[in-house]
Amino acid sequence: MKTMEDVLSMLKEQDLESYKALMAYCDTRVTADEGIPAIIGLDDLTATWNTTYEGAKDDEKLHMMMAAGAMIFASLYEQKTPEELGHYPGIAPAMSAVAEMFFRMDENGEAVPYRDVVGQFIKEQGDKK
Amino acid sequence: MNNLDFMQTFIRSVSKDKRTLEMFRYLVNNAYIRAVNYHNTNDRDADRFEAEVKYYSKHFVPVKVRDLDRFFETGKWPYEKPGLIPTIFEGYRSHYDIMRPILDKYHFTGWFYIPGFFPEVPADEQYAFCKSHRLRTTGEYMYPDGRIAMNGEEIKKLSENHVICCHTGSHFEITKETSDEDMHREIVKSKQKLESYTGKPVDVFCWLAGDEYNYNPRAHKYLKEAGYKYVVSNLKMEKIK
Repeated sequence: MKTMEDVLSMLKEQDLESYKALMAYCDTRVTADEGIPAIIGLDDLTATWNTTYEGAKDDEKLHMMMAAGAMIFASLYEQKTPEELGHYPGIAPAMSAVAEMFFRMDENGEAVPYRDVVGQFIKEQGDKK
Repeated sequence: MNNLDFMQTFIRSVSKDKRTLEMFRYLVNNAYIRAVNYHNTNDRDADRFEAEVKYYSKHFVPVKVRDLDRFFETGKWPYEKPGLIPTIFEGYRSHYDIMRPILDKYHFTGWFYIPGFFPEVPADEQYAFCKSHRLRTTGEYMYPDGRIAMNGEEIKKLSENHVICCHTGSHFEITKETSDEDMHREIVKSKQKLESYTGKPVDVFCWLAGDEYNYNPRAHKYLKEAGYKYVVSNLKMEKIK
């Protein structure tokens, strides 16, 4: 099992530039016209606070990457000014950025970004021509 | 930056808002779902939307309210593939004409967040209603008769394969200062209006602007009176019944 120090080291070793680049991309999206991915939490207010859940088999490895990624994105967004963030907490745009970066896991255990969806569409359009 | 400095910076930034750590807990605890949010969809976007739904149907499973019920009852997601919800906001007529046939073609379930009173606005007043109620319409694509909202018959038809959710009555931002009368209209009456179209219960309520059930305790009595099962914000979906 990893210690907290290991986890922090892992977080520190992440390539923050790729996170910042993705945040810049998110700023260019047209939310009125495009599909905007997000991850939303599921909470049962009628259950006890310590209820645990088992997720989809295909997400077994991805959900921890998402959790670490969400914290990195939240940390980066919280460094923006309140004017840049609007009235939302940093975690709000972070959860969309997480969905962009870790949309699903492929057969090799690699995270596939949401932009893969758009990429497939562009490829199919090209094939038609 | 050494590990300690990094840790201090990191913890300081993520602990600014309690929702950050809540989201961390949901992700670690497998309690989350993917959503792709759509608003206005013009006919020029149809090909792209079809490619997206085709992709979703290959890698994800559609989600019905009963899937969430089962997840919460058993503590286990019932499928190998994760669930994905195309969340389609505002109740535009183009959603019925453009998105519904594509979703049906791929047997994928859309969740349509509809302001309950929008369909009953006269067609020639709907564009002005959109402008005054923060309902964004983009592009030059408009129907010649001026009707922008889905009508009751379309909502009923849509509810056969998809989930109809209440997005307040008039695209109204409910705050702690909202009067009881306004809350009742926007939470309770709006649900009844949508149910008069669908003929079946509307189980899901969605706030505007990301407000949350937990941050709006005064709304509890109206959500309970209305009989909703789930309340959705931009960060979470909460089972309340």
